[in-house]
Amino acid sequence: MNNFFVHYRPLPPGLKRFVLLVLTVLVTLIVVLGFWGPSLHNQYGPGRRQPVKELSGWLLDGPGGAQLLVPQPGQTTQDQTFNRVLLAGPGKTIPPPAVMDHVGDWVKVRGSLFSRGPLDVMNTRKATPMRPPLGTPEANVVGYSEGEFTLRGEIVDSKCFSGVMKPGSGKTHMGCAIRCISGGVPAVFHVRQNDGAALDFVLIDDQNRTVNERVLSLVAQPLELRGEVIRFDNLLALRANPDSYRSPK
Amino acid sequence: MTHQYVAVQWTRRKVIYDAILIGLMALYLLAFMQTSHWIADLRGIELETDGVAIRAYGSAAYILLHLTLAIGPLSRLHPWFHTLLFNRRHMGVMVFLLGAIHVSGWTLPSQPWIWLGMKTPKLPWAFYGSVAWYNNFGDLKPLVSLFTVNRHFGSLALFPFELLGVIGLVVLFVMAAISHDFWLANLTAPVWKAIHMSVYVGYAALVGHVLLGALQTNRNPWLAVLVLSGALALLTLHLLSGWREWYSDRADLAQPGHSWVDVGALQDIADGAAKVVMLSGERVAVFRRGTSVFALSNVCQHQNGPLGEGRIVNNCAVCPWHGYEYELETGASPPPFHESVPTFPVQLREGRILISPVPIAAVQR
Repeated sequence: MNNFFVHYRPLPPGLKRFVLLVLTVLVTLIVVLGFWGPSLHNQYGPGRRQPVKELSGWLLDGPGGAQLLVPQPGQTTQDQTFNRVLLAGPGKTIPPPAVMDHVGDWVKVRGSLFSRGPLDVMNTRKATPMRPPLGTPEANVVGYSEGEFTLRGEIVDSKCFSGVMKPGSGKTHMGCAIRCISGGVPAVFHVRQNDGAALDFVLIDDQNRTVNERVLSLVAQPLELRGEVIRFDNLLALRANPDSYRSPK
Repeated sequence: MTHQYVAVQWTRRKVIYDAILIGLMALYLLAFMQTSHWIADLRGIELETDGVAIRAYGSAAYILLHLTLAIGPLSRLHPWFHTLLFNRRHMGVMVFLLGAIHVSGWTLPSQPWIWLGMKTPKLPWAFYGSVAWYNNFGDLKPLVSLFTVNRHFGSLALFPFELLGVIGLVVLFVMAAISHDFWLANLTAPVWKAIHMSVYVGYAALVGHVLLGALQTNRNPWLAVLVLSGALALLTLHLLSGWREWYSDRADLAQPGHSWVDVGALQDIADGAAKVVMLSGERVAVFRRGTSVFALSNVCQHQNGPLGEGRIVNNCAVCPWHGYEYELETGASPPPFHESVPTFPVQLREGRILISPVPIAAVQR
């Protein structure tokens, strides 16, 4: 009868030590995994949420999606007059008609602003048209060509990648990125350079149109794109026909 | 043992077991989430708390699944592990619950509150589960998105790992739903056991879910080492215990033309205990009580537990898994219970135990 255990009878004294040993091992295992595990997960992206803000600027639909051109105080260089903030609606959508009906106007918008490096994205539901301040420069809708490049990276959605989600990229985020891009959130090509620095390019086709519906099957996987890089103020765009996107060799 | 169906036949040890189980899981979840906050604070960055909670609950389910699946082979390798086995079903149900929370989160459905013109109350530690967080708020219903968003079935690297998670969760749900003895009694032990063997299909699907999901995004080699170590440890335990059973089953003592088989000396069996022998492909538990011996089928009617690893208590052979009892002489459970196992004719000659390999049918009460 030594050390024979049945759950409706008392625990034999000889087994108590064993049970305590097993319990000690389990607690140790749980503590080690509980405290060590989080450091192994890719859940600490650099994106950040800023407090709800009000911004004023030119509202444009393109390149790559809705964006607000906010004048940069003191910035008068020819190639960067504005800070371009990409716009999204609530959830995985484009801004609602209450915003998009005012494309081409000077508007005030309010919402949560997410930032990751030079990439700024704002969630907004409403735009209030206003008279632009005196002396406000016109928006440069043509951009400045930086030349043709071949780039390797991954298509992400600008909204989650800018900080709504961590990491906001990679295969586990594919579903979310496809929903966002399918919903009209600007598609961005994220490139990590050899020196570790990252560059993000809003994607447009060779007719300067958005590519969202044509790249859904290519989201969150390694790709090689060749196209013309165009600078629109602080925003980089990559102009290429989506049919030319391919997997890296 | 049960003669009427109740939700759970609680005993003091079951309560302690469940309290420890819940305590360990709560400790893990708190440690994971709090450490994530500390790391984010140290790096001076913001944390995305929904994603952290999704990872915490998912990894908790995955770790607990490994512990649950390790108990079976460990018990076959050493009887002391029966102290973990008797309430293993609650562990399995807990694995399913953690997995379900990983998928659905803690949020309350908003629609009833909207109808009432109220704001949806927030639960403590509320978070969106993985289905809503990654598939909701867009141009498709979340479940439609889940099953249609990734169609790279021809690529291993891009394979829709979410579907493997769904398979794993469905298996865990079926097992949790039919874990009660009500289902065991009505489906019969062989059918119930066969259904519960599908846990290995679920486990394989969940390993795939992690390998083709989390490990594709998290390139930390230690995470891969942990995942592969868990799978390897389980495989090793199952192979070891399986090999040991196979090896002992090889020694079939029955010989053609012999109606009585010598299975060993009386003194080889400890008083109150049993030894298991193989006779004509059937495992037989040979119990000793003083100078008497009794031979019963080794297969407990409850869950096919190893009766021969049990002990004699109150003139009954007691199964070490869940304590089912069988009278030594008849193989029948004492009233009011009605389980029974076949017995075998047995003789003692000059200290040697002789058994007839032809069983006596189980007594039906």
